[in-house]
Amino acid sequence: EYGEFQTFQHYFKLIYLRMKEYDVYLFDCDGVLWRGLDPVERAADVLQHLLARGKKVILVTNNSTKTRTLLNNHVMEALGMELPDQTCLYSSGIACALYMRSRLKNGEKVFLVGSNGFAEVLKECGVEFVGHGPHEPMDFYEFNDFHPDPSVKFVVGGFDPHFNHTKMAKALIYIKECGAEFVATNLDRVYPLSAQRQLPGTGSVLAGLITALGAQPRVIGKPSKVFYEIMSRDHDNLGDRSRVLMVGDNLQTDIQFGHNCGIDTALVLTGVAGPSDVEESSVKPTYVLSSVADLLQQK
Amino acid sequence: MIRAMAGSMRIIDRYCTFLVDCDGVLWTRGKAIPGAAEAIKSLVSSPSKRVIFVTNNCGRTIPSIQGDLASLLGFGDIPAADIVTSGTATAAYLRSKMDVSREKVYLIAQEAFSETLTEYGIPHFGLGPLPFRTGTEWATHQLDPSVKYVVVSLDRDFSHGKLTAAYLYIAENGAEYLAPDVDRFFSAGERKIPGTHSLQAGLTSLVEREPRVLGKPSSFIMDMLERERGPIARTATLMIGDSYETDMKFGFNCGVATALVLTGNAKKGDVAGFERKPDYVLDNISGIL
Repeated sequence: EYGEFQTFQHYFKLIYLRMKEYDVYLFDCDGVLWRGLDPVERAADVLQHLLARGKKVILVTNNSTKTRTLLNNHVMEALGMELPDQTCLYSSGIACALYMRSRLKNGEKVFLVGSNGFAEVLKECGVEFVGHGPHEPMDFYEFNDFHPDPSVKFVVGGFDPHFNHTKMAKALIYIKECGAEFVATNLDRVYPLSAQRQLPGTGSVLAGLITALGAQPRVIGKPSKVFYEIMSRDHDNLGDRSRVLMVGDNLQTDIQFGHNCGIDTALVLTGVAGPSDVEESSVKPTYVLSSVADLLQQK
Repeated sequence: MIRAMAGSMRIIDRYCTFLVDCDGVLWTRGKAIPGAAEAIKSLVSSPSKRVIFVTNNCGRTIPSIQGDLASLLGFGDIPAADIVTSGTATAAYLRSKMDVSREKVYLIAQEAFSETLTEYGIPHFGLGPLPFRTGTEWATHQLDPSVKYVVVSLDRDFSHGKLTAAYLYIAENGAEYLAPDVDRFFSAGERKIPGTHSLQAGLTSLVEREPRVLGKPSSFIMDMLERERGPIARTATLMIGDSYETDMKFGFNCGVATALVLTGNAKKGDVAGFERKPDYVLDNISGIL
């Protein structure tokens, strides 16, 4: 269906002529609604406009370190408003926590490889965890005496500045010997620190564990359609996918997410992707917007 | 030297040079494997044969291996020149390439490897735990511009911080990325824990290139031995080891004959799955006799 739409200029013409009507709008946050704490121009107006017309607005970010409370605060600070209810706020961390919670019985726990922020997310969602934070490095032969906690049913991986060989070895034991399910919030190779420098991201942190296992974790964050399924449990109108639009700035996560879920997508140019990225990408959005402000045209 | 015809002769009679792995071949965790002493005795006592011990364990120094050869097998005078570790191979490579007055190595490893580098006169740092740095601290951290080599081997203190340092030295300093080995697992008795390859995986994907491997299965050690001792006839050489991925592939890469023993890493049931079969599969190294 994208065969016809080869040139970038063509997209711009289409938005005003062909954008459909939707009932649910999923928004990525960084580079779409705000940049840090600075709002993208008219982002708040857009959300108010959609809410006033009875549309559902859901925020969908891959940042695993934010609890719903923190996300809510960020919306307040950046946009000067609140969404009608906090169940409209999702991060890959929140989705991961909800995924595990639905499968954990009373007293069962997860082995957490993640940040303090992600630990807070698990607490907020009522998921019990062990293993968080720094681990005293163990001599290799000591691992013969390591007794895993039998209540651990998941190993969950996110960005973890305290990750070390000992943590990796224990995670491997939980997965291989105890049969714990291995899930991850995302597998991003890098974590952008500044314009000049990046840090190893979750994907680089977990790469060693993945290679030792010979198997990938179930990734819950975008572009995985598991994220959509988790949100659908709490939001019925995600069921009719023809009435849902995903708005994002990243072709590999946001737009790919839309493809994987069978929903339409709108790429904004206020964030990660630029016009040449659209040309080069095999993953094409349904629409390209210069910013979310273009949605004010929506009926 | 008369090249023996295969079939009628013992394996030991068919070759002149024997490259012998240590862990899982001669000993396991401080205990000699029965038959090993006998096999080595036949090799060292024959004037027309020579044996070189080749181990991928850079967590051992040469003196400690000499110690085990003496105390576990009874051979008290194996010269250091007849022992090669992935650590000494890496040190030799570095010495041949580095300007030690101006360049340094960032080392991710355990103590023994650091000792080996010191012995070879290689300036290095990085041993032990790296104190935790926040994102803000990393953003402004100044790299030491003299670091031109990064070496990654098994390290119990490996952490996100060390991975970050290694990554920045390669990405921003243009440091060369070196690996003494790419072993997937370390056998801690009954349990397998993530090996060197696991520590390298994230770094390899970040810098988008593989490390230069100095130990098995790279043939670098063979080239190094030839530089030191003169030509080694490949058809008259046998590699004996317990691991397909390191020892047998090393043998294939060097063009020498290969013998897999089943006293260590490899189990009998694994053999059918090998993409290339070793020349010999022996229950024990004494099978060469």
